[in-house]
Amino acid sequence: MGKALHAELQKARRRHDLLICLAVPVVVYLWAGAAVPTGADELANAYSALLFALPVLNAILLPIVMALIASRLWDMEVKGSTTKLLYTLQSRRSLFAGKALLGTGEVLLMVTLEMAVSILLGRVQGYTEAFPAGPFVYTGICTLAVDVMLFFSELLLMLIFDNPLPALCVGIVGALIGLFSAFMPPLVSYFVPWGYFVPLSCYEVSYWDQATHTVTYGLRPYNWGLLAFTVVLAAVLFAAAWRMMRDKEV
Amino acid sequence: MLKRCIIAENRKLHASPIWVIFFVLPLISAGYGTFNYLQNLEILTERWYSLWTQHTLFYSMLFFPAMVSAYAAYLWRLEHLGHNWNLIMAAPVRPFALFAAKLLVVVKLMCFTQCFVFVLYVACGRLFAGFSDWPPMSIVFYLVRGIFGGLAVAAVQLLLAMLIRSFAVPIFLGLVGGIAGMLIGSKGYALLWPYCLMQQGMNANHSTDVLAGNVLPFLLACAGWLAVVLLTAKVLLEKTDVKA
Repeated sequence: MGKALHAELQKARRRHDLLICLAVPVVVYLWAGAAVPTGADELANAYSALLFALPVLNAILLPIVMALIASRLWDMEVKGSTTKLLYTLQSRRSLFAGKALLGTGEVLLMVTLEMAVSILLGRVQGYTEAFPAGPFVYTGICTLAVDVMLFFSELLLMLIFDNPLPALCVGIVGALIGLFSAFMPPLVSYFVPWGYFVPLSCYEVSYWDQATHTVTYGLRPYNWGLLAFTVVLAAVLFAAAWRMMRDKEV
Repeated sequence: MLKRCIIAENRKLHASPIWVIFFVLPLISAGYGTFNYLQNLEILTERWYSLWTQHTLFYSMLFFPAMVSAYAAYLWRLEHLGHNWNLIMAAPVRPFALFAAKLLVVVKLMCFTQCFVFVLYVACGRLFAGFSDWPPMSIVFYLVRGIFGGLAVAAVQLLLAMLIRSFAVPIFLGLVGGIAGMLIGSKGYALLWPYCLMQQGMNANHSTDVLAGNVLPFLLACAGWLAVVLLTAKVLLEKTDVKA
């Protein structure tokens, strides 16, 4: 497995995947940081507001980014028609393991950087709210789980069609449906895996003063059931992608 | 020569998966927009204009650039496969005609998309929102302006898809461009960034015309961005060597 991962890392050398992993946190920083909290009451609720907004930003960005990562990993083999040659040199299992490990590693790096950016934003903008460590870790775990699930769904599409277009189309359409599901009744959002970031969020609007446009965010119970379902779905998609690679004729 | 290039580009669209995105994205946008409009009738009181904002808000800000990016990347994908760059650069057509043909085909797709958005908007207004009259003419005007704004986005995305061999990266950059456009537009510098132009033209988040009295600078910005991108593409295609 180590050799397979090393080979994938060598293939990735001039692909600049790290730039993509870095681009997402930068976009999140700029987007989330654009609405600077000003008053004392906003600063006192700023981490809550940030962790409320973060899943919505993720629902827009990450389905497309997951399609991007999956297509970068597999499209090079499609373009170069390399699978026939590769399968004479390494087992299908090791090729899949290498791709899955590298993809998951890139997702992990991206989520870590995104969460780090949230802390940085709090420092730079001078949030006065006590840092919510528990909800912060929970948000990170949920983001990672949904990202991995979406990554394997996109990898599966890449393996089925040998063309990045269906994966990207599903990513774009999924992002749109996921975003809309965030504003639909909670039951609807359970049927839209691309938008799971939002129902998994542990923050909600607890008070909204329409006259003064004041919003206060509060905690809601962690959604362990949906998180467990997301992990199971990720495992199912991982298995389906592996079966597709194992059984596909070249 | 240009006509032959356009015919070749059009052939790529036959039975292409790109039509899925063409149909599905506006449908979802219209479905959600109508649902949201009907749920907030006490706040959204300006009938056709309010319905318009709900139909096109996310579409024009975030998903239109991604959709146009997919159109553009799809048209360049074949050229990036194998040694096709050598093949097309040796074809008896001016290199710029290749780019121009792709731009015209993307613009055609964009026009079809705008028409489809309008048909869905009118159908949802009449059937679901219960409007007995027809939408105001200014909505058609917004749609046409959206196409003018979209020209710059299409040209930039074609340039990116030409330069970047990956299919997916230009689409991601299109999405990032749309997000940046949203932020830059909110600061009042909409004419300085091509991805803002479509958002401004469509008047997606205002019931009053955001470009009232400023249509000329908007059109000049569209023409300016288009000219800059076309010139860059021409220079790159005619003066630099290809990497096949």
